[in-house]
Amino acid sequence: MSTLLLNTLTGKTSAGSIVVTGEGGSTTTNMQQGLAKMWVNYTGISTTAARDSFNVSSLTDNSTGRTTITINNDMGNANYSGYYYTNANTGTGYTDLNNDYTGGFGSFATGSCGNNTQSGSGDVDSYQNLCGIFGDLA
Amino acid sequence: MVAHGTIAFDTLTTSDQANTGTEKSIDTSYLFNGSAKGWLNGASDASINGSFGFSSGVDNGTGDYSYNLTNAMGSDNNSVVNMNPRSAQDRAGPATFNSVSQVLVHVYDISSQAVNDGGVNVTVQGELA
Repeated sequence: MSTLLLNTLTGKTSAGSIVVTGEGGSTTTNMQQGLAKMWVNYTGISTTAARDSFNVSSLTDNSTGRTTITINNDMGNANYSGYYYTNANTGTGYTDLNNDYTGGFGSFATGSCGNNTQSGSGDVDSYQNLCGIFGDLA
Repeated sequence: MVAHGTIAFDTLTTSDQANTGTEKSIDTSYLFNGSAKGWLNGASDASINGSFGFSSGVDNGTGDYSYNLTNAMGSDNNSVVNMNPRSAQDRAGPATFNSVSQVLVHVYDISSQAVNDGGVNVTVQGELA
């Protein structure tokens, strides 16, 4: 069997758990746990807007440098993990960086997460914002 | 619905008709290589709030944390990322592999002083041993 045509994968023993085997043929990992549950690439300049995304229903511009990402299908709890990169700069290039930039998650909730961006001079809207989360879906 | 305990196949094809009317396929190697091998949400004392692929955390000192992986990575040349929430301004928390089975996180403030932080967020990508 080389190709399966289907729309949904569901675990047999446990619906939310499917084990996949790696190239070595022995080590396994859990497919559901390893999948990103949300990702988004967005701009915070002028009108905050997603360029592309997965499992995101909306972005909210709360204030300068503060964005709330509303998750479409909620997480099961707020103890998930993830990454957030920002150039903390209005420049459009990935090399347009503030030397003293910082950005990170400001909040975790089952239906949203908050991203904060700041440079040495205070909160700042930025052009490059790349974010993803891993954890348990509800 | 047909239930199988284990099936071996190389390609997964989904009929994405609702959105595009175009079938999309993915080589099953992407399911393994593209999946995160670990993620964790950690507290300021190295305890773990939520995780996958990590067995424990150790508080080595102020802002100095180590986290043990349940399954060893194939090498320490894989990708590991840590993000600290901006619970305070201007903090950074770089993550590195200490070994194929352990990730280190060191959190600093803007003065390069080690500081405890209650928002460690680590993700690990790459190949398992």
